[in-house]
Amino acid sequence: MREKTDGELVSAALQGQTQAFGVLVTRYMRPGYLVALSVTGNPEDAEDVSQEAFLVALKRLEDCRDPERFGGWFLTIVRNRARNLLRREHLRRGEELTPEFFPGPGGPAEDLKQLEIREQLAIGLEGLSEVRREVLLLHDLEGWKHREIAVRLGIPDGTVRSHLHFARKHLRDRLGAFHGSAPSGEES
Amino acid sequence: MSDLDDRRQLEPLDPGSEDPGFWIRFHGRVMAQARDELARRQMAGEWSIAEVVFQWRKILVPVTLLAATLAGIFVVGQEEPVPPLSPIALEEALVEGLAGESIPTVLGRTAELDEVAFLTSAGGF
Repeated sequence: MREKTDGELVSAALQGQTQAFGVLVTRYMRPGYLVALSVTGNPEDAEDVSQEAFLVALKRLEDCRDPERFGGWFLTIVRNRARNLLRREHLRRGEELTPEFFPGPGGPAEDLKQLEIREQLAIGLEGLSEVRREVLLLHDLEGWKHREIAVRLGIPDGTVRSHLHFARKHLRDRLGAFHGSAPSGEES
Repeated sequence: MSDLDDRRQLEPLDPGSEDPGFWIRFHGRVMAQARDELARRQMAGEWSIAEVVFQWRKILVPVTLLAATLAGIFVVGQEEPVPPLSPIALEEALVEGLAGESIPTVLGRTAELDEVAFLTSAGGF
């Protein structure tokens, strides 16, 4: 059976069809979380922000001018809300506007080595720009293609490839340094 | 390092990798919070009686007009051609069944009579 397009699901959700909205949530909950994580660096904040963003999107669904591009529109809501949260947090603490990556909660059986890898990963991501983190996570964790990322983030296809290349190199260097190789840092 | 390795090293960032029920719970929470808004949209989408009538009117009016036009064309097509009335035939039709004389006859004969005589002869009194 053919998968419904975002446009079809948005039209049904506009009429209050729970199932259609549920499919949109399934389709974009992980990308939403990853974009929020790219901005805030905090798994708990990313969860809250991406969850709230779905409700905001549902309430403002009429504002989605091109329902076929719901994904890009929704990720913009996530990004803006995550930035606002980060701004509020840093204003409250009087710090600079940079995300501080938390390794996130580990499983009960996680050993010390695993915890260190998670910490190194968090440090590695901190050294990347927000857009590079987004591209890296959407490509390598969510499995989106270059073209899908380009359309949904509103950047050229070649730029996506370039961001992904540098982000991967940076992370390999960081984790390589942790494993004993020489690091090189992120190129800009 | 391969693409697969790149992916694998990022896995700890996915909350679902450590907690398989994470995304199911996430989905459930979003849907629970969206329930009121979805219900509101459903209510707004349901038609009132007036809206149903209005929707029917949109269909009924053009269909009725079309049916009336077709019926008119059909009736006109079925009618026998009527010969045009000549002035003489019209005059005869006007005076047919009238008792006494027709107005033109009265006028023609009694041009010099007064009004009372004219009306009397025309059967006005």
